[in-house]
Amino acid sequence: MSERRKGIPEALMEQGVRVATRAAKVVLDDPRGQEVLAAAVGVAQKGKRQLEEVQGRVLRAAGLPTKGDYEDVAKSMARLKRKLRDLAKKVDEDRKR
Amino acid sequence: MLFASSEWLDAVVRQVNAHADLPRALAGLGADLAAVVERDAGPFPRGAAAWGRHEGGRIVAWRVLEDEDDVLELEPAYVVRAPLPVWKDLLRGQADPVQAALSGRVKVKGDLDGLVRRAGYRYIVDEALRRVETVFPDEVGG
Repeated sequence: MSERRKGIPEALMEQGVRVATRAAKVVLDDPRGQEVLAAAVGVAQKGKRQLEEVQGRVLRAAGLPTKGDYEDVAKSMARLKRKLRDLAKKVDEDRKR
Repeated sequence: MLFASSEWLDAVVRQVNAHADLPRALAGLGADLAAVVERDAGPFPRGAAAWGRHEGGRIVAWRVLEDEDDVLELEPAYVVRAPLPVWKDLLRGQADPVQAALSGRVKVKGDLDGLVRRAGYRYIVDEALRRVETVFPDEVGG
């Protein structure tokens, strides 16, 4: 059975990815390009962080949990999980004695 | 050596630490990094994770984490996550780490720009990996 013909948006997307990949390779092979790319990535990450801060302030003002709140809970759960694991190991060791 | 085992990690870190260019590559980077193999339906149903910390130009502490969620408690400066097939491509030199990060195949938490600036030092890890025989769990004969 022949492969489904790709639509124009899919074909354009594939072509775009190919062009971007080639461009990224050219940029990365040049140390100056690497620096430019790193600076661009830094700016993008900073922008994302600022957006998250604003989102956090809005959610907090609305009395809703923020991404940071979820991360704090996840961290506490991970710590609890690790402590339970340590405790279980200690109990096993004590039993063996 | 089995990929993501303690023995494998020890061998890779030993090789990386032996490289003369490592202090230059690590200078200015965040103190620690965790690498995570995402949970899958194959050899890593619970995922896998390794953590390492550098100081004075070499990796001074490292371990395979018992649980992937330990990364949440450690809060390393960088967390690099990818599924096993992507790790295999990276470790075999079939994928470029920066391109993989920018395309989203590899998820990076932390200052990606610092890692992009050090992309030129990739040869340190490549050379270390070439010296360590790596067996992937999904390719072990049975």
